[in-house]
Amino acid sequence: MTTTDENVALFRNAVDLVWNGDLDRAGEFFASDVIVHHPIQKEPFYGLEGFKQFPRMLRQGFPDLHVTIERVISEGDRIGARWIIHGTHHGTFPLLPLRPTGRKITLPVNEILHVRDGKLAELWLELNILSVAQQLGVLPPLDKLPPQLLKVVGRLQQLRRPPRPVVGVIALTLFGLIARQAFGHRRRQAY
Amino acid sequence: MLASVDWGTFGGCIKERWRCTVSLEEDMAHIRRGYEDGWSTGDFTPVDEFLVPNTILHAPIQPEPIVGRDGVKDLMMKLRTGLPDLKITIEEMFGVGDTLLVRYTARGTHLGDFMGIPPTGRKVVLDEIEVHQLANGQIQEMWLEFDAASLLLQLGVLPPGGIPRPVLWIIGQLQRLRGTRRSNGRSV
Repeated sequence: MTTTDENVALFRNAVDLVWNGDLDRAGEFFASDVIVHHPIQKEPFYGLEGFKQFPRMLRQGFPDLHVTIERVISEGDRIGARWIIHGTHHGTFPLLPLRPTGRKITLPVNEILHVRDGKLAELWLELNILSVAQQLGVLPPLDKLPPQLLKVVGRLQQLRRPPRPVVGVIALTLFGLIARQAFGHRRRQAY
Repeated sequence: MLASVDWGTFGGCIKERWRCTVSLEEDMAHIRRGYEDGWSTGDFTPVDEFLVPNTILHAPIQPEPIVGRDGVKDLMMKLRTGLPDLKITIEEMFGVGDTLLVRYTARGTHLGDFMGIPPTGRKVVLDEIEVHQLANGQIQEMWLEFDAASLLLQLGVLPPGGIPRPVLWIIGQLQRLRGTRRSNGRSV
């Protein structure tokens, strides 16, 4: 087995036994001083406890969390992978504290990992957190956002005012969008 | 702004494994030039060289994959209209066989119309990772990932703390309302 084969095996084991298994086994595959670069916060997560934060959040929101690997390669001491998070929204996801909707989500992740001394030492994850809000029905797809709203937002930003009015506008529009869905349904029923 | 492609490792990998050929190295140089030149000059003609005609791009802000060179070029143009000073810095690029990974940072200022949002003058920094499927030295399929939430936060379209809890609460109530109404409908 070459080093790169070992790296691929290391990654597959980390997914099967940690992500899809026991987070407390992270130490077997991840370095104790692992650095995790993550879109959900500016500063990276540090150490094993830092690594566990994101899968923990996901499990709170999606208790049946399951990860599948689409593709994994290794070159030298680097691993590149694309994998997909699957789950059903039966809990409360801390990044989007919404009551459980029972909806299923799929969230693809592109990841680059650096290996040091046979362990995963530095990780870069890229994923689209916004798509969770869209799949749970909180936000419409970006191209369906009303252009008027975007114009208002743009103007407000141009004025460099504090973003409070923007919050109001977004809240009202979201309310409107969802109310339209809800009441539109009733109207159809009435006829 | 130097891309950190580790050619040394590549030399080693050519000796080690037959799958990692010189051509992948050439492909990488090619694609890197396409990325950096195309984005910083706005001249996307090299795109034709490194994309197969019916290339497929999966990108987070596009609900459906984009098919074809022209679609990809359109998207690039749109991005450059919104962020005219857009600059791509390749942080890392490596591959094996027909798979190539690129990690890069995109930086730009929102000075033009972008996805319907009029210019805000805000600076945007986005980290992205792209997986490429190659065929004969060209890109056949691309899977791009970045966090669109971070993009909207930086543009000020989403409020700084994310979606406020009261709004989420209202959405939750409405979703429940819809659910019960539906089941009522069924039982009647």
